[in-house]
Amino acid sequence: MMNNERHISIKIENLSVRRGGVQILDNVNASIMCNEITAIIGPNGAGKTTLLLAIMDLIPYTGTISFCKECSHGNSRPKIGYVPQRLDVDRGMPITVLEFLSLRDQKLPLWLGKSKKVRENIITSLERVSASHLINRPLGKLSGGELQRVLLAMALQNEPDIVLLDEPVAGIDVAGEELFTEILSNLQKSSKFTLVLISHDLSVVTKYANHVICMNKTVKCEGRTVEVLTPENLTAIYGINVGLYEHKPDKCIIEGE
Amino acid sequence: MDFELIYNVIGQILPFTWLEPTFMKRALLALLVISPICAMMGVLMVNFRMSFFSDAISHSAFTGIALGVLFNVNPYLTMILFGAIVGIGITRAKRGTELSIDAVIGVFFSAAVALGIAIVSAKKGLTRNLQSFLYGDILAISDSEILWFIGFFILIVLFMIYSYNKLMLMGINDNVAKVSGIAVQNYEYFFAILLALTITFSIRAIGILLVTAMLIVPASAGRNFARSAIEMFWYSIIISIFSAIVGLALSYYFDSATGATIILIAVACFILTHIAKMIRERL
Repeated sequence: MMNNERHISIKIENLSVRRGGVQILDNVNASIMCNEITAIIGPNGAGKTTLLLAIMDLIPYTGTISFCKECSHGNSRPKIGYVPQRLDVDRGMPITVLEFLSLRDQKLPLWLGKSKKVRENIITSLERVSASHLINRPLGKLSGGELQRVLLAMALQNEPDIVLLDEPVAGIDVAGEELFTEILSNLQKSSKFTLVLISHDLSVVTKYANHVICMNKTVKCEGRTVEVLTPENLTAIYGINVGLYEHKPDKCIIEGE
Repeated sequence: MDFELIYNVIGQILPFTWLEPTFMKRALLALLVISPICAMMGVLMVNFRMSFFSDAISHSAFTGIALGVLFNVNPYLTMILFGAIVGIGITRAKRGTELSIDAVIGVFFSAAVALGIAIVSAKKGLTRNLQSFLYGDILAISDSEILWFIGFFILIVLFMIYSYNKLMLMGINDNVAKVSGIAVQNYEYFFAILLALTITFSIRAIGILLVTAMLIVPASAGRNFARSAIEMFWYSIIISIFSAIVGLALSYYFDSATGATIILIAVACFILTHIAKMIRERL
């Protein structure tokens, strides 16, 4: 694609959120770029999840969040896919991955059976995230990494314009994390959507994100990944002495065998 | 509407001693309608850990009845209204405060029951009819009540057809549900109202003390053995109907409270399905 112009997908202006007497977000100004991978980093309690909730219009806020038509296939409100950090499912809950993914799109209630067409679409969604073998597994019995891939498949089901991920690799082992982020990155490139991910994992951020927003109740720094992730900026947001150590690329991946 | 024909058919198909009296046939018919309703609502409640919520509504039914008798209004009406108010109140309060759901329900539960006891103790003579509400009185059910049950059954089935998928998604992650365009809050309120209705109808069969059990136990037994949501749904219905029929029959022979006997059979099913699951896992 020869188009090198960067459009804004989401423009956040003067966003503030106050809940239970606490100022969670204070005058946040940021731009999420179209069809790029933007990472939001910051310490716990920085309001990162709250920012996603505000983008999805799930909590009250002051300020403006505007979506650009060019980046949402002409719709004023883009289609958003959301991958939450966790589900409210206990280990014993009998619902299979196939059933879970049918909940949104199938008109027929689950207890009357599964629609063949929906099943085929789900198999395709799962193949894209390398999870088709999990189709009949109960949701509660999936590992952390498997669940995240299934949740990603769900978020991608309706061909979203924007995908929001909340700490997708928290609680997953290193190999799972690599697999997930690689799948995610490939899908983003092929399907072309705006990806916003909250991450604590700076190695993931440096490897995949084009754009970084550092937050702690407000935006502390924003820009291209390499420019933003300087020791000074990182120390300013995390409050401890943080820097990035760059390994030589082929020494950084731990081989499984 | 004349149920004579139906009772004759039942008498032909199931010529058992315990079904000979017409009141037993009526009870069977009523239970055949109410037990799948309890199973279906129970499936949602067990999956989303709402048994305390159900308990609060069922105990507030006691107060609803007291209010009805106090104000000389049909106690069934006040029972439904008060139950719905408590259910909606809890759902609303859950969103508005930072208290845990346990604490919110506990407060409503306590307020409702305390109010009921205060009314009953202040106005002498109200306790006369309470026993049938506490233990259930399915053997005294009338044909017109059965018609109400059938009407409600149709409503619940329609609700399950239209809302089951959405409710499941809401229970698993409500933000994902909201982003998918589901009006989560409306469904929560509507579910609370339907639950209040279910409990009101079920109190006739099972009584206030055990109505939560009728909702929870067959669904939990179904959950034990099910390996998918579809299986859980249908196993729960089968176990609920089975418990109701066997419980009714046994209560005839043992002269025990029908409601309690049904629950004991349901618990036996729970134990059996649990054992069956453990055996299946060993194989």
